[in-house]
Amino acid sequence: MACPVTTVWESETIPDSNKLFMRVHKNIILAGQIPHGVFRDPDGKGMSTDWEAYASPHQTRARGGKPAEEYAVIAVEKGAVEADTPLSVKHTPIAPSAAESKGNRAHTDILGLKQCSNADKTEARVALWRLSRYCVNLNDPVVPVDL
Amino acid sequence: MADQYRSTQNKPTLAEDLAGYGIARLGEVTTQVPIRYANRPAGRTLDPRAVLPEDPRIPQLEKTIKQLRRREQEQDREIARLVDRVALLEQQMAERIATDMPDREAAMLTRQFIQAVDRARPILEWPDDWDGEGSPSYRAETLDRVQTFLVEGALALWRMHSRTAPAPQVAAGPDGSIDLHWQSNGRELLVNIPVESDEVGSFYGDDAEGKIKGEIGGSVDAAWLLGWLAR
Repeated sequence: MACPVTTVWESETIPDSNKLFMRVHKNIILAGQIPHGVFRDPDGKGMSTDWEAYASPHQTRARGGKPAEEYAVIAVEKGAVEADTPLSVKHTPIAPSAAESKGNRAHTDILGLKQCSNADKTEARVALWRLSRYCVNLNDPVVPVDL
Repeated sequence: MADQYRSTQNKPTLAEDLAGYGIARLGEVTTQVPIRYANRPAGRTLDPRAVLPEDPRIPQLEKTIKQLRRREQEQDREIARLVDRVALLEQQMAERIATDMPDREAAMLTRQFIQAVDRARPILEWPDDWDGEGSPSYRAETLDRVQTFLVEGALALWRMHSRTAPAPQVAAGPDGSIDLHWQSNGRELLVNIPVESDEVGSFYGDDAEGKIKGEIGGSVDAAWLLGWLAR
């Protein structure tokens, strides 16, 4: 009987200059502006992003729970996040499993938002908002990608 | 006759006379006045009331004086009434300046805040997991609290300092909360109003001079934050 092959990706150090991608749902975008509300960490496990080393913005766009055309994608530089906020960035690849069948090697968490005081959280969200730039606009065509 | 010429030296005054003998004695006493006047000893005075009725103009003059005094009293009452009226009008005018006029102005000011909140009302139609990321839906109560926060803040700012502040962009915040965002005159302010009414809102703002951040409560309320924006 053959053993199932399990892929496990090691957590890597992300260079400060590398970008992290994050989806933004169309509902929350007002007048084309990046919304502050996208920066959230409801369960304290971190804000999910994708590291550009293992994902393209279009792959990030396609990984949402809704159709890809409903999302824009923003990018934020890892080093800037850690320099301008009390948050930290950790590469947290998701191994393929029954729940996440294909896994996500690019998965990266921005940690610490939930643990901030309300005022620090609001300040951190302003900082993240200032650091973020669109890399896929909402009206950009959906690019077929392999996940 | 001798009695007619008798001195009034030992007679009581007319008032005493009236009190003692009654009104019936008045006619008798007054008819004797000219004689008594002529014969009265030096230093003695006569009661003038015993003389005045002799002048036929007196009753008419007294009547005229009474009429003038009545008219004067009426005029005093009218002046008092006008003074009260003027005071009332001044008070009403002061109240209008203090409240009504600013409220009218403030109604115009608060309109922009209400409109800003109304523009965000479509978020109430979003279902749970509206973003495919597990975000919860938004509650009307939260948005109503945002409106109250803004309107009361704008009114308080106007009443305290006669100043206005721009309306924010009201947007869906994280996890059912509401974000209020201002960017004007080199200042930026983000206020987060949480879902639950017993939770504390928070804010962060900055400009070239520095930053403000904290939780909403105590002396830091909407008026204070709008005042910071309106500096």
